[in-house]
Amino acid sequence: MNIVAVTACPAGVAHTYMAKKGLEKAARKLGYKIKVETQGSMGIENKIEAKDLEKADIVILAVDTKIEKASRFDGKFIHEVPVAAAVKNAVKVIEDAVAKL
Amino acid sequence: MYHREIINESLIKLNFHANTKEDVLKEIADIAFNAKRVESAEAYFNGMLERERTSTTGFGGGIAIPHAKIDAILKPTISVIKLREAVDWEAMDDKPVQLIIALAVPANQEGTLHLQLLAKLSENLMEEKFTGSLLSAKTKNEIYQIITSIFE
Repeated sequence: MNIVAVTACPAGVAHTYMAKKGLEKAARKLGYKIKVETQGSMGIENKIEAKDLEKADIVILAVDTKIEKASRFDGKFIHEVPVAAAVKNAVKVIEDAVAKL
Repeated sequence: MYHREIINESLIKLNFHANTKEDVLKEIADIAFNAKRVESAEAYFNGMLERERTSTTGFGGGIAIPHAKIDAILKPTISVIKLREAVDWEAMDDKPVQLIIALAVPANQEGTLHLQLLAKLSENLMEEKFTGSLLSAKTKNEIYQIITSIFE
């Protein structure tokens, strides 16, 4: 399973980065590959490129705000949750996404 | 060396008595104001309160990370309060909060160095080893050392 994810929150100071870490840890625990892009106060980091998307089975958007370059994900399987969900229980976010696939 | 600018022991308070989340946010704002980190304690307080209304910053395990990114903030700042008794924070796990790590960021913050430190701190808050050592720290210096150790 290959996952790509974007995290973003309004201030882009704390939860964006907590959600990133949460998703990375959860994916490792579940044995999935993940690449998490952050859209925070430092702009876009660890950007998801076309080559990442090609391999991706699932796109997880843990976002509380409109994200940039969202059209990249058109046609992909997208699971969208509030950023808090990925901070609180990222394992559940990933499991829910996989169950819906 | 840069982390010396973002947190110091005058921004850490232990054994603080508060009855409510608002009491804690007021104290955080006063600490930042007294340390000349914000132009107005009230503006920082209101900024944090507004952020809390969007969604709680109590992310579980007895810790909250209130923050604001507004014009009235002069310097990127981390402040830490440990409460004598935990207070309700409507946290994600419904547990009361005892340790508060507050962030302040100027609205027009340019340059990413300080923002990187705050992002790194946020990521580390997802590590139980890190949060556990902060929760059990007994002195201001211990807290200062634990937080700045992740910036090395």
